[in-house]
Amino acid sequence: MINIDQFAHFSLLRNVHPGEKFIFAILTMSLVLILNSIAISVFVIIAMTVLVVIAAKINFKMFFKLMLLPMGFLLVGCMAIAVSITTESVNFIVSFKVGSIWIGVTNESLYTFIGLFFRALASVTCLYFLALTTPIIQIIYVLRKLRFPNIIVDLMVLIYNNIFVFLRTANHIYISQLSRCGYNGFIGKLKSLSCLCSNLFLKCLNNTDETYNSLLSRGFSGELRVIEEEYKPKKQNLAGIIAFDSLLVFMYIIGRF
Amino acid sequence: MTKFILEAKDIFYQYGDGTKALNDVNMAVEINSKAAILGPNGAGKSTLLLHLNGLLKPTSGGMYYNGKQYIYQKSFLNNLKRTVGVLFQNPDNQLFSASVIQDISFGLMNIGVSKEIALKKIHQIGEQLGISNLYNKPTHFLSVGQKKMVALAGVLVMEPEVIVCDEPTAGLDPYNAKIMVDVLNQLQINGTTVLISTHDVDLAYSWADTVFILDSGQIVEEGNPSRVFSNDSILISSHLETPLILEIWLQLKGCGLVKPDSEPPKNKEDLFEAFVGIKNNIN
Repeated sequence: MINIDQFAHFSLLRNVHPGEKFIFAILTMSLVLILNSIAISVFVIIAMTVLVVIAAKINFKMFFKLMLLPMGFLLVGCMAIAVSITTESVNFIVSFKVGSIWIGVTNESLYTFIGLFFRALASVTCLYFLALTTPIIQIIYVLRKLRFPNIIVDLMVLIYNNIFVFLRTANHIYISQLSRCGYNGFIGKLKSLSCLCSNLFLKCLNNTDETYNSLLSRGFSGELRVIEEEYKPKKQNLAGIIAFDSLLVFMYIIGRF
Repeated sequence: MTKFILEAKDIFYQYGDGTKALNDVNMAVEINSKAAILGPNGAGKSTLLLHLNGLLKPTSGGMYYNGKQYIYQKSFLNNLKRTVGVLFQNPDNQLFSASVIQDISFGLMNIGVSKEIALKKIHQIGEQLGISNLYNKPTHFLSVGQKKMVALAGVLVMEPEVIVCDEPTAGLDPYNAKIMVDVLNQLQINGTTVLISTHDVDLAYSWADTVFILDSGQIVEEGNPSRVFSNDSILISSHLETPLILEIWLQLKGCGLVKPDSEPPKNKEDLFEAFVGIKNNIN
């Protein structure tokens, strides 16, 4: 499993105020979505890549691999917009005829396709920036500061931490099944998998019981009260965010005239 | 007169499905002692431990802290949870947060300690247990031994008077197990009462002042480890074994190599000393 959170823990931007990273990613993403310009989208993709690779020191190869995933989805998803089907030949760039139907790509549809693709990709890079520089604990910190409902944030804390226990348990069961000739043949695969799932469920219930007991032992009363680490906001960072996003707006205005 | 910090009197406990987990348990833990509960799997050890800090309420019978009977009401229980800390067996289940500091702070925040004091205590406990260097790591990057220490810190930071550990050394390598035992010893020296549950007869024999043998929901034997572990019939019926050191000494005694009325050795060092004594006698 590629553990994005692991990169966040080792990124150089880890100790930057999470609020700053959050505002930067979300504000930039909003601007990309609102301004809807190919130039700005491409600019944001390049800027975010530079930030992630140079400022946060995330391996470029790794980042590129991570980017391939949404790229694939986007290409397939946006394809439907690029291709238009009509009953008569319009101003197609490329087209072919099947029976009485024309299938092809027009100038406008190609433009929409490129615009949409880059806009979506730019948004993804913004979110990747957040995910690769901000460990979950810091995102939870931001959510708490934003006064998200406690119950949801508490659940996030518990679920996040249990993902690792869950995966490890699943892995142990899987290995022990394999070493007893599990997953043999198609029927065997189904059987072993169903055993794994049901066992994992029961184990989870058991573990939850002990977690709950241990929380109660330390005075749990319905709310996970813990110390939140304090981060110091930096004026330079805030100025940088404002400058960067103003630049985007400025680029947009220039482009209009 | 000896003072008992924790007492269980005629405790019966029946689970919702009718399983009788505890069947007339009577035990008393001396203040500032090192006590160990031993027993086969399914004897009711975990159930008994959950009674000690009031998480389970006995079906009948009474629990006492410093001679005061437990009242199953919020204010009493909250206070009890602070004074009787429980370390659970599986640290994965005890650690709920991905941040070490946050997890350790949980108990303190619940008893309403201010943030400054809490941070100070958290750093103190980190120094004491030698885990300060883990404070910036997420909990899922830690090894089992480290997780166990962090879980212990989360309990100790509330400064309990009694610490109850379910299998404190299970799953630890000898090095980490020794650290754990040293920490428990240090706690006892500093005035805490330490109670552990374990399957490790050698640990219980050389570490504890008092041992309790729990079988089928009853305390079947209790007292000084060398006396309890010399009771073969109880050991057999409770699926336990004689600790190695005691067994060697009993063999030596059987061969007439040591004085019959001398005190059995508690640990390896004492045993080796006994060897030297034997050698001198032969010469």
